[in-house]
Amino acid sequence: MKNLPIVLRAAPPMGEDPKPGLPVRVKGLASRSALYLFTTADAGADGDTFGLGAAIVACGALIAQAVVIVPDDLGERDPVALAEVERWAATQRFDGLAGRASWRVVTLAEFTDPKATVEDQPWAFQPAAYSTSGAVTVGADLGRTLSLMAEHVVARKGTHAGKWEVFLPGWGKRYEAGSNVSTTLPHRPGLRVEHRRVGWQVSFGPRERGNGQKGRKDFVDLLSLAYVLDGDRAAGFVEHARNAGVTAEELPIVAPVDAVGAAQVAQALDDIRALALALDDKAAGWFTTSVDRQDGIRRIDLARSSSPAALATMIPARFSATPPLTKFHLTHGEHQRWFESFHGGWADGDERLWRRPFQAVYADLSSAFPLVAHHVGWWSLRIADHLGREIVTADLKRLCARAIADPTVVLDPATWQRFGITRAEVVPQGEPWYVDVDDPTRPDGRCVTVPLVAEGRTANYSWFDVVGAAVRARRVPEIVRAVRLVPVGREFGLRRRVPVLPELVCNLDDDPAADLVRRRRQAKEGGDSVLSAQLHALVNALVSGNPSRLDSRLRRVSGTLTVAEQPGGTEHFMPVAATVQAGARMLLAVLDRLVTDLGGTVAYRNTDSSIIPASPGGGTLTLPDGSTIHQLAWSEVDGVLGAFERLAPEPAWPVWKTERGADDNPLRCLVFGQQRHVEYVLKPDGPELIDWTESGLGGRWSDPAGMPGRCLDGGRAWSRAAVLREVVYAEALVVQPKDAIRDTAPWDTPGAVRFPALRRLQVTTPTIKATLPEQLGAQLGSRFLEGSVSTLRDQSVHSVVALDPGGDLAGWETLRWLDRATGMPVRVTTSSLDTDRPDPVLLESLSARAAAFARQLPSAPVDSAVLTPLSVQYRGRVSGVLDAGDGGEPEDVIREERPEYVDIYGFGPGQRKALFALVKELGASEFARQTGCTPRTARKLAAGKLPTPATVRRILAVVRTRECEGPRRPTCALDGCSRPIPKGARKYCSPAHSDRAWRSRTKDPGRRPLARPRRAAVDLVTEPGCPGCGAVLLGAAATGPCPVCSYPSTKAS
Amino acid sequence: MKAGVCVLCGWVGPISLHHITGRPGPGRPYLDPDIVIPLCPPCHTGTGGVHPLLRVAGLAWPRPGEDLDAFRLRRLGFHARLASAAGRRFVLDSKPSDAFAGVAFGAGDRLGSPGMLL
Repeated sequence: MKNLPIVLRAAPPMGEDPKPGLPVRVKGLASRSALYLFTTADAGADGDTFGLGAAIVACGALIAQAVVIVPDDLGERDPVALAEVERWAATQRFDGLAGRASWRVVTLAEFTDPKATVEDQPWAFQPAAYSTSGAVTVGADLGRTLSLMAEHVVARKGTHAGKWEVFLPGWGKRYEAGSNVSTTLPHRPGLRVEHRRVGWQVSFGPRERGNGQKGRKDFVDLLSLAYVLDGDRAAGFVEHARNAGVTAEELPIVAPVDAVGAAQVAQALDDIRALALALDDKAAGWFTTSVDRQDGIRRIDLARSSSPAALATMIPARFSATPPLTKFHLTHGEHQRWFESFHGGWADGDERLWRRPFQAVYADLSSAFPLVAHHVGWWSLRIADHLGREIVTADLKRLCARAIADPTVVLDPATWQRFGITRAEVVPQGEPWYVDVDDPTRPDGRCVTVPLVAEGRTANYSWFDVVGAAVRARRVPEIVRAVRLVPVGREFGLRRRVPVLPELVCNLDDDPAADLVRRRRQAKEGGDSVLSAQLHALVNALVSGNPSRLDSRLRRVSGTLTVAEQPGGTEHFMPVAATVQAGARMLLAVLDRLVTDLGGTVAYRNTDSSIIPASPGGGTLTLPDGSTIHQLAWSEVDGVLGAFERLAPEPAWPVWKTERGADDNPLRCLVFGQQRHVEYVLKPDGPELIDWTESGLGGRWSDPAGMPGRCLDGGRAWSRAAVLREVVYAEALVVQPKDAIRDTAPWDTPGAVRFPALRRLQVTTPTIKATLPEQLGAQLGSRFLEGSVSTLRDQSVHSVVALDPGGDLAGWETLRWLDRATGMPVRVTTSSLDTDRPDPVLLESLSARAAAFARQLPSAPVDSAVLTPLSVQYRGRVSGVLDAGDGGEPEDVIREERPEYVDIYGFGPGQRKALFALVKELGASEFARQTGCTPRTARKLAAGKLPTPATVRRILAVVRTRECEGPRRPTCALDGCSRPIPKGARKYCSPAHSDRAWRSRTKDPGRRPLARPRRAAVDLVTEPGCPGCGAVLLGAAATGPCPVCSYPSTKAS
Repeated sequence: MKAGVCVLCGWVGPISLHHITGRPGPGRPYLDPDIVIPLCPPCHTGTGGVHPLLRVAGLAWPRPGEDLDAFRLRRLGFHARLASAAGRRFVLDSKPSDAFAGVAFGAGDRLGSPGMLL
């Protein structure tokens, strides 16, 4: 066991005030001329090259022009195919805006002709997408669509690295090999393409001054827009279409260059247009009045909205509320302290219970983030005129003291309103605090709750975390200062009412988060799972995602490009996000304490849910090592959860939702590790899954050919089957520990080669393209497969790739697989018995990958952490790391995606001063001895001068390692005091402690001196059980009607 | 600018009078100056308005050598389809002139049924 360095979030410069976006008032696609575009790769080509395309210029359902786009050289290389396509086009007639017409066939050069005019070629890209004022181009997966047509695709450089510039045929010219591409005409710019989390952002580059058309040209990627309107991030085209009520075929497709291919691309384009119009219709409901809808007006910017969070941003904007960073003038120091107090969800549990089935109650906080935000008054703060500060240190100490005796006192809404958005500076002295640690095996960040000791600096936490630490440690932490942000007044000129959805109008006086939760509940009850999922994402973004949003940007520091970040959007305000996240953690901490007080344990918790071992009548679980765990009775769990109901904002919004099965068939749980658990009941024909996670299964690995698509509860069908297989295996292990065997994967055909673990990836950044072999022929937007090479054999190939043909991948063995490192063609298999020549590369099977779901990921245990000024590392957002990992970026690139807040010497904020102080404190010679630097360097530092950056970095690395291992100096000898002794051979940290130790010794010579009498842990006072149902009721729950059976007054009985 | 009701979106306010049958070429007089419909500015010349759509539909001007009556009828069909898509009735009121009747009779003559009654 070793201590890992603590990572603190650092606040970036807040920069210029964010400007609120202009009010959007645009016409919908139903009454606007738009170019719908689709292209496909040539099925007969080795690389990813243009095969066929189709384009429609239409106004809603009325088509003005429709063309099939063929390669320029098709007439020469395959005149028969061209004639077939022309024959097919002539027979495809449609009722257009200008009467009955038929499709026409044009070459790629004609379609992208930069000099085309609307009079001569109204179907061409130039007039339809560029020169028309307010032009809009619609496609699905636009990056790939445009890239297939492109003549030049250039990776942008400098601070725009990671983005692309695309020149369609005729729009750009490379004068000599290796030179930059420049535009052929001054008013025909290139297209700037950037990958979003879902879909692509496309825009025209700048034109030369004074040339070209003015006005906005929009590009709408339907994958992005669909994600905005259904909140389904993992969905493909066909699933988005299903969510929108449109029947469509899956995209992308690879089509032959003939009449069949032409029919396929025309059908695909038809699907795209149908989905676009359906989404446009759906978008019409957001933020519009009935008059807007009648006039075909949209309030959502279809081209620039990229996630449901964009809709959440619009809610305060529609009320005309000024962005928080503009009106609340927090100092950088305040921002920094709030950033330090921001942590993610709490996820851990009692690992003794992992990987073995047990009866349990699954408790989930209903809409946890909106619940916390609602009670701390986030909305009154958001619309306040300005902020005041109130010192609430004494109140917070008193609350902690009371909460130690009875944790349910913190479940009072009045207390939440009293403290609201409060941050406390504390000196942790071994209480369990939530910290982020720097684990080299986890570039995406690792959060743990461990005893934390601070030395030489304070730590910043939300008041929720302080109370949570007090409740769990049963002692009041040392609180230096607690400051509450108090909303003062109300901003002038706010709108009173804002229409959000046709059935939802938000009032200024009411919390919109609560309104949205209510609307979501109605949608759920009405069976509208799509709106429910969208509102779920939206409301969480409103109170947590948007206030903590940071956008990545590249910054040049001393000539080197580094990943930096800046506040994202207009809603960034970390105090709200930090408080909301901490509130959910405190609710879990109180639950943990109440369960522990009853003798139970929490097997696993994650952000807003807990799994509590419990059975109808209670009992004892015996572990393989002979130790036992008390299993609570359901009535005890009901009593514990009932204590939280005071926080329920309204009767239909309970604080906890529970799942526990039936009396005769209780819920069983299996926890395999972080984010990997399953809840089920045992039926005569086997286990029936109630809830399950699919971390590391569907979404990461491609669906097998034998089991594509989703199951009814939204997860991938094969993930469900994989989890079910693990449940059956775990239950069999209980009955027959030695003879149990895992079933074969249900998606594999018996006797056939097992389906491999494949990742479906896309070339989204130049970095990914650079890691692929030239021979693959991949370009911007190309979809490719990556096979996971088995480690069972010692193989020279570490990764294999092939172009993704789309579809169900039934013919995966016949694809053109290449060694990712060398580009050499290889044969692949998942059968270790395959001995045919040439030697195949053994891939890991999906079945083996699925079995890994049940294995715990190795990670170094962390038992404690030390916080000193020099031990911490200041880092930025992890979402860039997560996105890069999802996108298939190489591991060394992934690590660089997390911004690091250090100067050229490696100092984080405030660390330079701390190093000078350390040198002075230790003395130059001792410092040189401890850090291994030369005495001359130490003397230089003692004199307040810095050596070279490389030397400083070396010294800092040594100091960090030493300080992470524990206090560097002896601590006070008074029992209970962990303050370091400043200097010399003293025993105590201060004369006061020396005196106290003397008094203690003289009173009782045999006893070790104590720092201060420890507050005895107060046992939970249990109230009498409910006479109605027997539930044990705690705290205020015992004073009113029973929350379980509504027995009138428990107290009276 | 006059006030009226837009025949496409129903908006009440300032309107422009749009000549359905248009002109035979740039700068030339309207083919049927009296056949007009009231359109609000967004529906007339704005993004997605009638004029941009006439351009993408290839109906801004007659094609070289195109018969003007055929052009008139195609423009009529275009506006009727547009109004139909917007869920609006498209009724041509020939008052105060008899221009529309003239267009229809002319087209009818071309189609070989002289004197057809509309």
